[in-house]
Amino acid sequence: MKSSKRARQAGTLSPGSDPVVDAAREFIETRDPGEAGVGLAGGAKPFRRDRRMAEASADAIMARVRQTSGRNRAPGSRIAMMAIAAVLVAALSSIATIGIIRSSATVEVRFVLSAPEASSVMLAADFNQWTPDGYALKRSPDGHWEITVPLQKGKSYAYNFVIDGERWIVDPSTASRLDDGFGGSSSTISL
Amino acid sequence: MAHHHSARLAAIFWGMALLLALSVPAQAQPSGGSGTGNDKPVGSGGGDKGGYSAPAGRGGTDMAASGSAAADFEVWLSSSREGQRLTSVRERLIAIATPAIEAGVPFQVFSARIREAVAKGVAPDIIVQALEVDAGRWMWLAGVLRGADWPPARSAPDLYLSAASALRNGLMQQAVSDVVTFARSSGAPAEKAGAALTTAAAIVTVYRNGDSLPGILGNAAVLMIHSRLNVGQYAAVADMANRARAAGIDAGRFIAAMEASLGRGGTLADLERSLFG
Repeated sequence: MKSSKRARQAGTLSPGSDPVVDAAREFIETRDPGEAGVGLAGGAKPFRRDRRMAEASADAIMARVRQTSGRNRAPGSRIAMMAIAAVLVAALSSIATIGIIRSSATVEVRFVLSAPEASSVMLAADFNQWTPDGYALKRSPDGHWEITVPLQKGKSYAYNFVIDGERWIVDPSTASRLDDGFGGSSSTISL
Repeated sequence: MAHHHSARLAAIFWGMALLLALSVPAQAQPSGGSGTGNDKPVGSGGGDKGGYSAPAGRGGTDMAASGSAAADFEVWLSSSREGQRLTSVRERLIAIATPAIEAGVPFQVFSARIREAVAKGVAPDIIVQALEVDAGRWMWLAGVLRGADWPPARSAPDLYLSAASALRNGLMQQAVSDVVTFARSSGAPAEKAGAALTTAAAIVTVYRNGDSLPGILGNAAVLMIHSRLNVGQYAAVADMANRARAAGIDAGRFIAAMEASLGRGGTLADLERSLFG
């Protein structure tokens, strides 16, 4: 539609008024020899092309334009698609990297106590506000009790095992134990 | 094809550039993370350890902040399960805590110790006595740290607790002061200083009944913080002290071995060789 509109807007051209106008007239005469003088002002017939021909011509031109630009756009689209893919891969990799770094800031610590006679063993520590609820060790068939806790690296912690809900003991497997100031002791661990 | 190759190369280049751009800030994240001890629902970072906002070491200089912290402690004492079990000694606890908090001691150290004591079923009077002694140690540490912007508020309670524990277990004040001063001047994490104090205290405990001089063992803390060991290796040093004592190696020789190995940038293996050949 734009093409036909342009054709209609060609308007009239006055001969001799401007070298550009003269060049345009010469071009039109060359292009449309059967319609010499058409579209020129000064006695000539106004420039008027057959509308259907103009539209057909415009459509053909636009089809070629689309075809051409489609061919030209294809590599660009591929680049864009690949760039998007690369961005996605990079973003996912970064998320993974962040995850690894975060996980490297903590370490899974397995607390193990051999207490075959115990009915329950809990872990009470400064990292759980000395509240053993939720930190029950699981008993294995050989009488060992264990729990794995993720802890932040780079610092030390104090802890006790609580046997049967009432007996607080230090970890017998480590030498790091300190007087707690309340008449008992706590084990310490550095990560 | 050349055009496609260059397009792929460009895509790979930009992808890698983006990867690097995204990765660098991620790596710059502090390993300390959020300050939580673990990822369990009942973590150490929750509760009152993370809520302290006034920097430690500015004891007495920000009365409004410390006054607010003292009020926070009273509120905690009134509202917490632990506090409600200590109503008989509530006023005594407040009388102990208030001057300490005003001197710059984070109030969370009081609540942390009270939690531990109540969980262990300690009698209220014993808790008061223990906290009175602890408060004196904490106030001394607040004096050492006065005027400094170290440690960060988030790390301060742990450092205070570690220092008091180390002093309680026989580490000399000079050793604690040396470790804290070194860590502060070198920008070392407060958690590392706390771990060094805890490990040194454990070594002192190993040799407590021996004929060693506490002053000599105090060097262990300084050697730990100066060494190239990471905190995760500290416990191995305490275990080695235990083995060394069992093998008849006295405290003086143990410290000499630490100086000859860890004190010169050596590793745990070097320390082991120094001790056991």
